[in-house]
Amino acid sequence: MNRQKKKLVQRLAEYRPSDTLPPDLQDALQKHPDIQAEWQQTHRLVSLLSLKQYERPGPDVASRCRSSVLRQLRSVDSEESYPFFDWRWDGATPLLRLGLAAVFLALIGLQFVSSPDQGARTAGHAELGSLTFTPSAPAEMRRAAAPARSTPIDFSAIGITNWPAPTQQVGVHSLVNFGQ
Amino acid sequence: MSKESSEETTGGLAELNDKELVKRAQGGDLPAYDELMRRHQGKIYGLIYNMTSNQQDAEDLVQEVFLKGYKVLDRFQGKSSFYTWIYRIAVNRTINYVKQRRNRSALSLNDLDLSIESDPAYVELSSRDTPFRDTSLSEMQEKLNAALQTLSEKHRAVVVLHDIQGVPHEEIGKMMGCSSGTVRSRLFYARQQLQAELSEYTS
Repeated sequence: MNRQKKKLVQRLAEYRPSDTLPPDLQDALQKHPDIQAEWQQTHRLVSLLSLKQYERPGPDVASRCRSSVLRQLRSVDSEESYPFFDWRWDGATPLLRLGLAAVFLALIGLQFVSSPDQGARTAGHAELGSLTFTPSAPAEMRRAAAPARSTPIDFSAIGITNWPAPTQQVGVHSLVNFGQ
Repeated sequence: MSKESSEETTGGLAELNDKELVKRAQGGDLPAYDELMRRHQGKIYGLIYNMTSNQQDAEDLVQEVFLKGYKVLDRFQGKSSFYTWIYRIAVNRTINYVKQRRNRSALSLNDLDLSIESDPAYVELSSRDTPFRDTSLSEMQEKLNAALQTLSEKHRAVVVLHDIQGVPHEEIGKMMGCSSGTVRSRLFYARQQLQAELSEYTS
């Protein structure tokens, strides 16, 4: 196919069979009967294809599709969690990520340098005999109370008799010191 | 705003244009999105049905397309019309689907509307001395769909969009992410192939 014919075919491809061709195209077609025959064939093919519009879905298909989509969207909406729980790391801005990482590292750092009475404080309260010390009690008293919780377990009560005896009765020792 | 508009009647929403409906739907207004579906569902169904030649697949894919559309609606910036945007989702999803099911393609066709017999194109085709005249409607429908299924997904999409749905080349280019020149070229080759398949009706 020479260049002129190719150009003509390309121009024709822009039209639908139902369109009226511009006069220059009609003239060009008359000069090339082979292309005119091809165009007529294309015309018939597109007419044939246009008949597919008569393949129509059942009357309830459209409403069924829509109501199914809406039902699914409503159920997604009702299951939606609070934005706090929806938060995603990759959705955060770089500055926010940096800030959160800094806070996290600071918390880890604080954990390392925390005071020895941290355990008693976090436990809520420590007991010593009939006395109960709350976190608001003086630090000295709480420090004395904490070791008392490490009183050795009496394994003989549960049938273990050959357990090595503890070398130091820390709990009792502290109790004596506290009494002084 | 969402509550107010959800209480609005369908008639009220029908007066809004697509842009306004999209804005509302982006704010979570489901009735607004329902109105958008109502407007574009028919064409989207037609595209998918003609691409798959299977009514059940078309029904499922239409739902998928609109569900996906709602989920990614916040990404729609209004650079194109909603119609082009949702069509693009539909074209891409259908092409992927057709590629996946290539080996198990079964025709499951919609009923033909009998008003076809008064269509000028049908009258003209059946008046010619070709096998078309003696072919039953269901046989013609089956041959036409089988011929379409022989095209590659992209060629089929172009034929369906242009020759069946009448979408202009430029619009198809936007929907398929290619130039209008590529669309024209695909259309040209697709028509050639279809003519070879359906020569008994078109020559």
